[in-house]
Amino acid sequence: MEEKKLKYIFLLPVFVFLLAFIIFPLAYSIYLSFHRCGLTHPEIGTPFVGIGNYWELLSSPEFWDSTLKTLGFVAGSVLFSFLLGLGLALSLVRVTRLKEFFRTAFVIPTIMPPIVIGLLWRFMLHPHLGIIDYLLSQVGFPPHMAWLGNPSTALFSLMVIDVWEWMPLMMLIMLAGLMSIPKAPFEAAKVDGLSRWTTFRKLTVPMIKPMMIVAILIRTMDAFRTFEIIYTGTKGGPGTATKTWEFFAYRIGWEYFNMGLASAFSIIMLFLIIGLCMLLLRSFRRGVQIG
Amino acid sequence: MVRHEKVVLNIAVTVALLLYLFPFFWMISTSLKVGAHAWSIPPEWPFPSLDNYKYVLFETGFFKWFTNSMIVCIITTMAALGLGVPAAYSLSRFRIKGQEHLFFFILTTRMGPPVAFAIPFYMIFLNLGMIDTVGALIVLYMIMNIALVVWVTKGFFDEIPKEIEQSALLDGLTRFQAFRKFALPLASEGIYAAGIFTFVFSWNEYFYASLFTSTQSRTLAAYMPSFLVVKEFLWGEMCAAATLVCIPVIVLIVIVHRYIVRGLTMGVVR
Repeated sequence: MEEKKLKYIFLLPVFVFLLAFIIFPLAYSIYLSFHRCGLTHPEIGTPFVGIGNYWELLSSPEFWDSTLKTLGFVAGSVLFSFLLGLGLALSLVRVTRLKEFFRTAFVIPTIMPPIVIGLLWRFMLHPHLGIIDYLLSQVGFPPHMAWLGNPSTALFSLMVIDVWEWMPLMMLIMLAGLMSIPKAPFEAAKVDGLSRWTTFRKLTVPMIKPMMIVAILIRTMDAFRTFEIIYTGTKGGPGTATKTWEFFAYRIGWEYFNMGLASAFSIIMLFLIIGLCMLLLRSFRRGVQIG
Repeated sequence: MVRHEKVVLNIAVTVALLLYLFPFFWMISTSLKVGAHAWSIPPEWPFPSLDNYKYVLFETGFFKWFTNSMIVCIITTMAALGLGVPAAYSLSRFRIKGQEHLFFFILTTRMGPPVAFAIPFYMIFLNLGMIDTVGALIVLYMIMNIALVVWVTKGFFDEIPKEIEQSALLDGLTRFQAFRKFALPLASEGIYAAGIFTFVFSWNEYFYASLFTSTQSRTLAAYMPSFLVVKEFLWGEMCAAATLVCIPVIVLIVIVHRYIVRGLTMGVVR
């Protein structure tokens, strides 16, 4: 009896809290998305507009342009941080001295405030006064390259910053996987004279596959949320070169104060991102045990 | 592995680390250069000066924003632990219907784009007159972090053998006493780790802080871009402020570095 009571007393606060602060705002957001709600014109009130906001968004080429940028950014960022993270994890697992030190030191970018990272890179990428421009011009690049100011390199530059910030997370997850795999099969492979590449492909990859999936999934979720480095680096520009979903929706909400349209946008984003993550999880053949 | 191969690997990893952390070192070295030295190209190396730190600490609102950040982070951490730890214990020890769904639901707080939560909360806080208060930030940061607390500490409770509490129950203790006297102390390391991660994420958070606060309740993270808007070339001062903002985070993470993977993945990976 007492057991049963305690079970619910312990759970109830979190349950109520989440219900109040997740379900209610989302419901409110859905409500807003069907209404016109411009904070700059309070006299209009919030008239019902049906699917007007959704239609306005989905029929605008700007939205689809932004979708392309977002998917490109997420795919590039996840792929590069995955490959670099895997490479680093494979090296770090063999390091015997100062193991803990290396693991923690590499993580510094991931735990620094993202806003600091955005400002720092903006400073370093300055076309005239930045250290990166100076170093690159020393090795033969043309000087005064506006990496963030040029539409053809802006998104790529943001990707580099994002990979710098998050690669250590990929590395840590896969390192955790690598450290937990048994040694015996690898010794057997060595006796059998298998090449390193074959050993990696046939033994290492299948064994850390669940970790790889988790790493990719978590990184994908986070990449969609990227805001600070875009805000400080390019403000979505030049033009619309780096206007990802997150930034686009932010502008609709906080520069045009069109809360109805911004709500419709965020609802679409929420469903697309959750859908994509579930799809990603299913498409990996063997499901992973999470939790 | 052959011996010389080991040496090469160690050297390679060290070089990679130094290169990788170059932006971090550059931030610290710039913070020690005053005025035009901070942005002169090619780089100059004047004698290190602490003037930028003096400026940031005594001539800006640094202490006010620091106090705000501390208040927000400490209250958020205490509240998230207070709600999250018992819930984690309950999920770890009892069968609860729909537990898997709950996990996915909680994970959506990480999938959901910040904008999706920002709009309804902005409207709600606007109506409640809570814009530019620390209360608004505390509520938002709790939502962001409670899932982390629940899932990280649940993992630690799962590792404690159930027999310990069962024998305590046989000795006549109530379930709550067993929780308080045995489970809680045994999971304390995990609880500290979850708390520190909550603190760090709240400390670093920028998006909501910049939207929901303006003058009274600015946090340190939200104050950082002011170096950009006012005068484009306050690089030295900006780097000094950035270094000061990073110090607490790095110190705290070093304390819980063993649980860093759990913290960063919401306990999805042990």
